[in-house]
This record gives sequence, structure tokens and C-alpha cells, in this order.
Amino acid sequence: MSLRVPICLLLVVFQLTSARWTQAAGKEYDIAKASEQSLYEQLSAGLNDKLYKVRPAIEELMRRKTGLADRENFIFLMALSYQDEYTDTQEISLLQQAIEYYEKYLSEFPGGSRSDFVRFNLAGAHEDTENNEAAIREYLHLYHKGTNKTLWLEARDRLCRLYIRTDRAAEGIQVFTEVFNASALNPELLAQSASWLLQGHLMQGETDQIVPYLRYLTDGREAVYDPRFNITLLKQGDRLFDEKNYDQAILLYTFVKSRSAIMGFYTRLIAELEQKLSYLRPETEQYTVIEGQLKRAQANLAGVQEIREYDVDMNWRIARVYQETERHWEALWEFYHLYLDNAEHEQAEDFLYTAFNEAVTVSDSTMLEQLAIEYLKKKEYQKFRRQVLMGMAELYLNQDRGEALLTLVNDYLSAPESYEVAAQLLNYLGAYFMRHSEYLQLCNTMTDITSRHSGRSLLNESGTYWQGLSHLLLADYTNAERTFSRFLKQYTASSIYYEDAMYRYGICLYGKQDPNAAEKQFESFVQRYPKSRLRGEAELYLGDIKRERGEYTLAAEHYRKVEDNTDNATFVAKAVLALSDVIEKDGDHDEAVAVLNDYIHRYREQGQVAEAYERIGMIYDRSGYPQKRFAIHGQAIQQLGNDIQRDAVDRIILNYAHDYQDYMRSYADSLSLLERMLEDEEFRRHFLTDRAYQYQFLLSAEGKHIDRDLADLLVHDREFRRTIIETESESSPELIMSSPPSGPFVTEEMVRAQLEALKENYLAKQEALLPYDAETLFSEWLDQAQREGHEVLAMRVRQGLHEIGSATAFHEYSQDELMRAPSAVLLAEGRRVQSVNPNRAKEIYEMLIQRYPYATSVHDALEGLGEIAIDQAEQTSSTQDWEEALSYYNLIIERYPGRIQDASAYLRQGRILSKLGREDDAIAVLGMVLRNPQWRGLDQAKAHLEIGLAYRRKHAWAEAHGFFERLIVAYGGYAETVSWAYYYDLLTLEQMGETQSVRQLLAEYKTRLSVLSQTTAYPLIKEKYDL
Amino acid sequence: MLLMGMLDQQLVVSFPDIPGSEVIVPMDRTGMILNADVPEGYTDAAQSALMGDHQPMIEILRPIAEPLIPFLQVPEPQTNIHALCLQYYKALILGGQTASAVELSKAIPFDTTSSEFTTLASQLVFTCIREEQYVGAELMLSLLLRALPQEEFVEIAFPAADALRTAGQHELCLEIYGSLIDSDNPVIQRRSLLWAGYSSSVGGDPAQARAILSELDEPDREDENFVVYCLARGRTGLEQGDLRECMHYLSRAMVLTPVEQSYKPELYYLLLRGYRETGQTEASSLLQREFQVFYPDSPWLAKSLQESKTNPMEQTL
Repeated sequence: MSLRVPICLLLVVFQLTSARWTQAAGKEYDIAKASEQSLYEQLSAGLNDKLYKVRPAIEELMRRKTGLADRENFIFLMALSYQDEYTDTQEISLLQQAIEYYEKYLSEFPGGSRSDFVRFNLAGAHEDTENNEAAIREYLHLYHKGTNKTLWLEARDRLCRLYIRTDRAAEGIQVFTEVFNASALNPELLAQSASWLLQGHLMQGETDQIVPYLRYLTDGREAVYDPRFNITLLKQGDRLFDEKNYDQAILLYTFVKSRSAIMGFYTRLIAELEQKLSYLRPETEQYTVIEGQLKRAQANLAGVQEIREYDVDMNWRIARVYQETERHWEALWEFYHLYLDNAEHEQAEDFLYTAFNEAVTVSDSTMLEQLAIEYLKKKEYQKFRRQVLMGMAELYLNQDRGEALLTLVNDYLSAPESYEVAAQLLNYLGAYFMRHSEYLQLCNTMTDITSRHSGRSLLNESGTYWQGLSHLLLADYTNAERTFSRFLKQYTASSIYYEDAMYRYGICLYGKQDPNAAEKQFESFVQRYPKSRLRGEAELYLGDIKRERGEYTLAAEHYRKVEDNTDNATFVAKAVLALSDVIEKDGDHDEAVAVLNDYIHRYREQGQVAEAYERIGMIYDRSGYPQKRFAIHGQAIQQLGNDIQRDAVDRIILNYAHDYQDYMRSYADSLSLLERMLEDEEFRRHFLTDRAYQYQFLLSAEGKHIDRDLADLLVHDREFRRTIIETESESSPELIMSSPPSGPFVTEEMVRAQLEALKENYLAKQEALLPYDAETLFSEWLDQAQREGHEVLAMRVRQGLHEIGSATAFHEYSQDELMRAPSAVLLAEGRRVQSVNPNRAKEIYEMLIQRYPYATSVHDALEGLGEIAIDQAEQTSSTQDWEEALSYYNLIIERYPGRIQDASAYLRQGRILSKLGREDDAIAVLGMVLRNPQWRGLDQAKAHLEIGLAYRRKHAWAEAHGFFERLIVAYGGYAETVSWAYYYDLLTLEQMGETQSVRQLLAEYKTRLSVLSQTTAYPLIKEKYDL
Repeated sequence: MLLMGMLDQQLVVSFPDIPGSEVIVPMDRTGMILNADVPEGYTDAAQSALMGDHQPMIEILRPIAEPLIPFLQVPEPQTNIHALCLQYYKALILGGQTASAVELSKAIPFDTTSSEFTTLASQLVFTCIREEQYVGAELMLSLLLRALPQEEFVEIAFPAADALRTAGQHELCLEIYGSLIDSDNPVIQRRSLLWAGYSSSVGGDPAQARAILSELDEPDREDENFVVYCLARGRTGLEQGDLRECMHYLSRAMVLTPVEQSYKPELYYLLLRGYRETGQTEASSLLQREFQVFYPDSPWLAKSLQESKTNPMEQTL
């Protein structure tokens, strides 16, 4: 590289004459003999053309000027001629020659007028011959001692670039710093020098030193596009990355430009510089400078074009750094963009999956789903398929997107690649249905899956387990037991479901009312899995089984184990309550109360303390201390009544109201009886001695509320009866119970004394309860609650007053108040208005369900909604209304199988299904009634009747006949239902053409007319068959 | 001869010794050159300017350059006054005489002068913003809007709007975008709309921002407005408390925005807020460090540091 000397400069130096040079044609030219003038003329021609063509002339002049000041020019021109020739031929030897002459110049003319220029060209020549050490030396000399401003600046720049280019950036730090400090007004140079300093310090391993300079690289200057700079950043960034110095690495990576960005920048810059050059004259300094920049830009562009594509590697590193530094959002996008931009890359699958994982980490459900779908669409992507599927399933579960989850599972199951994955997907599905209490859907889905995928696979294992669980939750113990039994036989303890299945199987047996088998199963479970999280529940069941058998002590042992073996607060509460129950049954009332008090003390706000207080009160009540009961319950109402979550308080209030009235009525009636016995001797004698009269009296309005203890005393207690029946001297044939006096003689005074004592006793009992007067206390509590703003307590107490029949109880709740009411109040309100304003009742029930989805009142609300819907459907006969009614009963049966006391819900459901023409479904539902042993009796009789009718509608006469016949034979005591069975069976047999059977059946019917003639069906049979 | 002014690209001159005389000199004829003498001391003044002292240049050029400004309509090849006026203009701007520079700008025909004048004018815009001379900034932008082709104006206007937004001048920001919303260029139009939406949320009206954004479909990543869209959505989400939307879009904008982009500091600030409000202290700490390293003087950094002081979990450099 050299600086071309402007021609004008040479013209100034050389005084040209008008003399012309001629060459004698044909003569051999001896330049040593040429005149000086002709030499100058040759030189002049060379200046306009190529210097190296007139080198002999220059050399001759140089020789002739030895010792003279002029020689300086010619040495310079000699060097320049070689440099020019090198430019044309690129022969290195020529450069060496140029170097020799430049050095000669500097040696002979160290202070020469061109010394800066010469040194500059010399440095350039050294660069071209790759003698970088020498080039640096010369540039440094110029930098420190040069006087020509232009050359000094250019030399400084070249020096810095040379340090960088030759990997000697560390050596250049001082110069770089000086440049930096002098660049305050030149943002481009500032950025450039900052980049040099960065490289210098990085080369020295001084990573911390680069921080102050980074800010100068944020302006998009040329410096940041320099390929060498970018390579340095990348390499140093990699070094830091490998050292796990991630937060430093990202500082460097942030500046690395992509290969395409660098190429784009230099392409644009080259075009810009070429345009600038076209406006400049070649001899100008500016031209030279721009030309130098252009060459540099071209070299950089060529350099970066040779570099292999590194964008993917760099972006991957950046993405990893984001990951490592917890910047997961940015990591997500970096990996995703890597995938998008390099879809054919061998690691594209990894990029996509990593982005997916980052989306999971940051819980960006939108991206999670999008990326998962994208991944799963690619059949060739298999490495992480399982994880992606699980991630999607979890997302759908968390977002409650059942449809999407079901679709995902079904899609996978259409061609499952792994049964393990399929099994795990089923778990998600199962969890979803469980969360929403959609047990029927769970059952149907799992049944379908297990039937499609039979065999001993993980899929079938999972499906069978869930199927069994769904049957159990639907209280279909028969099917549940069958399923779990099959499971336990088919699979071993290595199954992850085995432990749970063992436990559930015990519940099935318990539900099927086989307590002995259930007990064995639970004991086996406890023995096998002593540390199971289900052990507490198993102990609870074992306690219940023993309690039902009357083995209270053994039951208590099991109950005591529950708390230590479960984390479930509900089960702990159940165990405590049950424990107190059996202790009480064992006769230790004080201990039973102590157990409950201990629970209250230990669990306080977290426990079911309202239930505990309720139990304590009832223990006192059963022990004969009703005043203690009412005292405790009164405290509970006041302390806990305003807590909307304490549902048990509603029960306490209602029972308080009801029972208090009962007690007081009982005492009053008992006192009335005693007083009448005291005042009316005839009555007394009649009552005590005439059993029939006694029986009638105690069933009458006067007598049915008399205290049980008093009734027992007066009726059954022989010892006591002797003391209140006067000794009779003669026996009277009118007296049924006349017996000679067997004990002491009893006088009227003695009798009266006993009765008075009894009366005092009951007066005392009555008085003891007076302070607990429900109406008085509830009214007080209502006032207080209203004053103190305890709205929930006020509502509850008002319910109690309503129960008593108090006039102050009536309150028209506003919509706002109902929004804040507890579930029991809502339920009561709904019931109150149901018959007069069913729409309003419906709104209230729906409000209850929405606000208290897990309250026990929901079942009652659903029943209310079902009743309203049936009434509506009866009126309109519209399919839509029947469907609505069905939906309620579906919910009741599906979600509250444990609350169903009788089969009415199933019978209604069956009936509705029949109304909708879905006979097969109706039969299936009604069949469940027949399978439940708890519903033996009228419910099953009705079920038989309805099933028979359903078969009739299907024209399945034989089946219909079968059910009617079974009903007639097995449920003969239910006259009304049996009579209908006769009627429809007769019609069915007629349909079947069984004339003989019709006659026989009629004859049988006639034999039972004494009972069946009172039934509703009788007139129909009588009319049709002319009985 | 006295130069009186310009009339439709023609010089109007008068002769002092002939009262009332005026001559119209067409400058579009070949050979017509208008030259002004370079004042004495110019070289020294230029040297001083190189060293950072622009006052000498201002002083020696003011008497000559200021009256000649209207004559910049004469094409550059036919006069030397462009260079003189340019130097004067540059000296005013670099010498800190912002108000004078703005005043001078009113007379400069930017549509006919070289790009160097426009470059200086653009620099003046940012100087005004930096010095909180917003009226001046507004004036400069108006001048440039009238004079420059829209594609050129946009290259100044959007960064200027970024700076104004940093300074809290949201109304002026919206004016800038508003001036471009009706552009025939759909890219510019869309970009202006996006920035207008963004500025609405910055200015405390996220509902309006949401309304604006809802009119636009989410562009493809390759769309040049994509990053702005992400910025606008992210900011709106942040203002409305939708942290998922905030992080989703701002983080994407962050990875797609190079460090030299004028709104990058703002992006750092917003993403930091997002990380803080989502409780990601490690990430926010590292991001804060990066922010301090790259943009130590940015007002957005100052704001972020101020806000981090109220966050006890924050660990900063």
C-alpha cells in the first residue's frame, strides 16, 4: 500500500523546461552519456506515464546527484518506481527493491522533506510483504514523530488495524487508548477505537476492562461490522461461555453481527465509496483515502464471504446463555427463531423442543400449544414426542379444556406408538374427569378404551384402573368390584395403580355390603402398605366396619390411627367424630367429649370445629343434659355463625330450634299428664291399669309428645308403678290388671307424693331449659348480629326463627343479600318460593350451585331444579324441557351417588328417559336400582314396573312379561305397584297371544281382591276384564 | 451590485448607484456563477472548529452566511455559498447556539440543498430534544416534513419520536405519527399506526392503544413492522396488567432488536419492568447489568434504577 504522490507536487519540485528530449533514431542509447536535460525530459515523460519505464533515467540522475541535496528526490522516485511496478505486476521482489530505496532515503535523508511520506510508504510496503513487525515499527515512528497531519492520521489508523489484523491487539492497547481519548468529537472513530480496545483487552484476558467501551458500539457504526472484530467477539464469547461465565458472554454475543448483516453492510458501503470516488480526482488526497477505505471494505467483504455460516452456532449460544441466566422468555424466542430460520438443520427438532420447554417454564400457554402442535405435526420428530404430548396434556388439564384433551388422547390412541405414553395420557384424562366430577363420562370413556385395547398393556392397565374408579364413584359397587377384582388378578404389585386398586377394592366390598370381605381386604392392604398415604382412610373404614358390628373398642383403635396416617384433614375430622361416637357408645361420655375438645383445641380454625361442637352438644343431650347441649350449641352459633364456610352451624341452628321446642313441649305435656294424674284420681287409675287406654292415650295428641323416660317409668317400670298404684282391697272384674298387693301397702298420699316428686323433677327440667329459649336467644342474636354487621350470622339465626315459626323471621332477601348468603339460607329460600315462583327458585338454586359448588346443599338444589324442570316438562311436553330435567338428574346421580338415600333420583331419571323415547337408556338406569341391595323393597318394585313398561314400549313383550312376573312374585307386599304389574302383564300376555296365561293370571288376581281392590289399577282391570 | 433576493430561481439584484433599479438575473443559464468571498481568517476558524471551538467560525461567517441563506436556492454547482452556509449552520449547531440554528433553519430550502444540510437539521432536531427545546424540535420537524420526501423524513421522524417519548413528550410524539398515518406508503402508514398505538399506552391510555392495535392483524416476523407491533402489544399488556402478554411480546421484540436501534433502551426498561413484576429477580438483575453496560447515560436506565430501589429483591450493579 502506498500513497500516490500528486502529480502537481512533482511538477512543483521539478522545473520543467521546454526542452525536448529526442532520441537519435537507430543509435544505441548510453544513458550514462545522456545530458541532464534529456534525463529530465525522460523523467517528465515517465511521470505522465509509468515511472518504472524511466527508471534508468532516475537511477542515472540519482547517481549523478550523489552528495547533493537533489539526490533525495531521485532516491524517492526510485522507490516509487518499484512500488508502481509492483502495483502492476504484483512481484514481491519489486516491493523489496522499493523497501531498499525507502530505507536508503531515510538513512541518507532522515530529516528530508518527504521523510514522513517515505516512511509511510515504507510501512505500507512492509505490510504488503507481510513484514508486520517492520510495518508496525514504521507506523509507530510516524505516530510518535510524524509532522504531516494527514499521514499521521492515516498511519495511526493503519497501525491500529495492523495490530488487530496480526493478532497483536494487546500490544496496541496504549495506542488504542490514545485514539479513543482523542475521538470525543468523532463518533465513528470513537466506536472504532472502542472496538480496538475491546479486542485488545479481550486478548489479554481482561474481560472486566471492556465494560466501559461497550456503550460506544451501540450506534451501528462501521466498527461493529468489522469481520475481525466479530470473530474476536465470537471467540471470546465462546471462551466465556465454556467457562460458564454466561452474563459476560452475553455482553459479547450481543454485538456479534450475523454473516448476512456484515455482508449487507459492506456491500452497501462499497457502493457508497465507489460513488464517492467517482466524484473525486485521482490525484487528490481524499481520493487516496477513500480508495483505501474502499479496498479495506472490499477486503472485509471478501473475508467474511470466506467464513462459513456461523449464525446458527452464534444464535444457539445466545439462546443457551439466556437459558442459563434464567431469561427464559428470551430463550424461548431465540430457540424458536433458530427453528424457524433453520428448518432443515440437523438440530431443528432440538431447537423446537427446547423452545417448547421454555414455553412450559414461563407458562406461556399460547406458545406452548402452538409449538407442541408444530412439533407433533412433523412425523419425523420422535425424540421428544412423549414429553411434548405430556406437556400438551398437562396444559389442557390445567386450562380445563376437556374437549381438547379428549381429542389429543383419542388421536394418539388411534395409533399409539407407546402404551406407556398412552397410559400417561389416560391419567391426565382421568384427572380431568375427576376434577369435574364427570364420573359417567369417565366411565364411558375408559370402558370404550379398554374394550378397544384389551390385553395386558400399560394402556389397558391404566384404563382398567380408571374404569373401576369411575364405577366406584358412581356407587356402582357391583361393576366396580368386578373391575378391581379383575385388575388385581391381572396385574401385580409392580403396577403403579396396584396399591390404590387394593384400597378401592376394599371400598367396593364395603359398598356391596360385604363387611367381612371388606375388612379382610383393608387389613391386607394395611399390612402390605403400612406407609401408604391411603392407610388413614383404610383405618377409617376398618373402624366403621367394627363399629357397625358393635365392636366399639376395636373400632376406636382404628380411628385413633387415622390421624397419624393421613394428611387429609377431612378424614382426620371423620375419624375424630367417629371415635367420639364409639367411645360414647361404649358408655364413656366424658371421654367422648374430651376427644372432641382435644380436636377443637388442636385444629381450631383449620378443623371442622362446628361439627365437633355439634357432636359435643349431642353427647350431652343423649347423656340427659340438654341444658349443656343448648349452652354449647349456643356458643358455637355465636362464635362460628358468621363464618360462611361453617355449614354445620346451619344444622346446629335448625336442630336447636326444633329440639328445643320438642323438649319444652315434651316437658309441658309431661307436666300436664302428671298434673292430671294428681288431680283426677279416676284418670290416674285408668291410665295406670288399663293397657289399651294407656296405649291409645300415648298415641293421642295429648300423649305422643310425653317424655320417653316418663312414659317408660309409668308404663314399663314395675318397681315404680308399684309405688304409684294404690293398693286395692277388692278386685274388680273391670280392671284388667288387678293383682293382690305384693309389696308394702300404698296409700293415696304415697302415690301423690311420688307424682309430686316427678312433677317437681319435670318442673326443674323445664326451668333448667328456660334460659335457652330458642326464640328469645335467636331474637337476641339476630339483633346483635344486625348491630355488629354480622350478616351471615343474622341470616342463619333468622332461619332458626323461621323454623320456630316466629313472625320476626320473615325477611325478603334482596338479590345483593342473597349473593352474600350461606348455602343453607339459599337452599331454604329456594324451597320457600319453589311452589309459588319456580323461576325465582331456579335462580336461587343456580346461584347456590355456582357459589358453593362443593357444598352438600348442592345436591338438594339440584333436586329442587329437577323437580321444577319435571313440572315444567309435564306442562309443555317439550323435548327441550325433558332434556333439561334429565340434565339435573344426571348430575345428581353422577356426582352425588353417596347422598342418594333412595332410588327416587334413578326412578325419575328412568322415567324422563322414557319420555324422551330412550328406552334402552331408561332400562340401563333402572337396572342400577335393581343392583343396589340398599334399595330392596318398594324402590326395586317400582323399578321392575318401569322396566317392564319400557320393554312394552319397545314391543319386547317377552322381556316385559318377565319383569312384571318377577314383580308380582317377589314384591307382593306393595299392593299398589303389584296391581299395576298385573294390569300391564295382562295386556302384554294378550299382545303375545297367550290367552291361557291371561285367564290364569286373572284368576290369580281375583284371589287377592281383598287387598288389590283398593288399588288405583283395579278399576281398569275390572272394566277391561269384567271381573 | 446588491443582492436583493430570489424570485423563482432567479436572482434579484440592484445597483446602489442607480436608485430604484432592479435586475432579474436568471441563474439557470450556463456560465452563471454566484460566488462569495471567503472571509479572512476562515482557515484559522476552520482549524479552531476542528479543535472543537466553533465560535470563531460563527463570528466570521455570520455577516456573510446569514444574508446568503435565501440564496441557497441557487444550485450548488453555480455557487460557493452552499459550503459557506453549511459551515455556518454546522458551527451554530455544534457550537450550542441551538435557538439561532433553529431560526436559521426556517430560511433554508432543504428541498434543494444537499443532504449535508438535512443531516445537520436532523442533528439539530435531536439537539433541541436533548436541550428540552421542544418547540424548536417541533418546528424543525415541520420544516423537514414539508421539505423532504416521506421516506427520508421517516428516517428522522421515528428516531426523533423515540427521543421525545423518552423525554415524556407524548403529545408531540403522537403528532409525529399522526402526520404519517395517512401516508400512501402502507409500510409507513402501518408503522405510524403501530407507534401511535404504542405511544397511547405510554401516555397512559392503554385502552386507546388496544383499540388501535385491534385494527391491525399481527404481522409476520419478516414484516419490518413486526418488532414495533411486539413493542406496542407488550407495552399495552404491561399497562393493563396482562403480564403474560407483556412478557410474550416484549421478550420477542428484545431478541429481534439490534443494540443500535434507537428504542432499544426503552425496550430494556420495559422488559425489566416485566421481569420484576413477574418476580424473576435473577433475570431482571442480569438484564439490568446489561442495560447499565450498554446505555449508561440513557434516561430509561435512570428510570429503571430508580424503580429498582423500591424493589427490595432487586440486586443491581
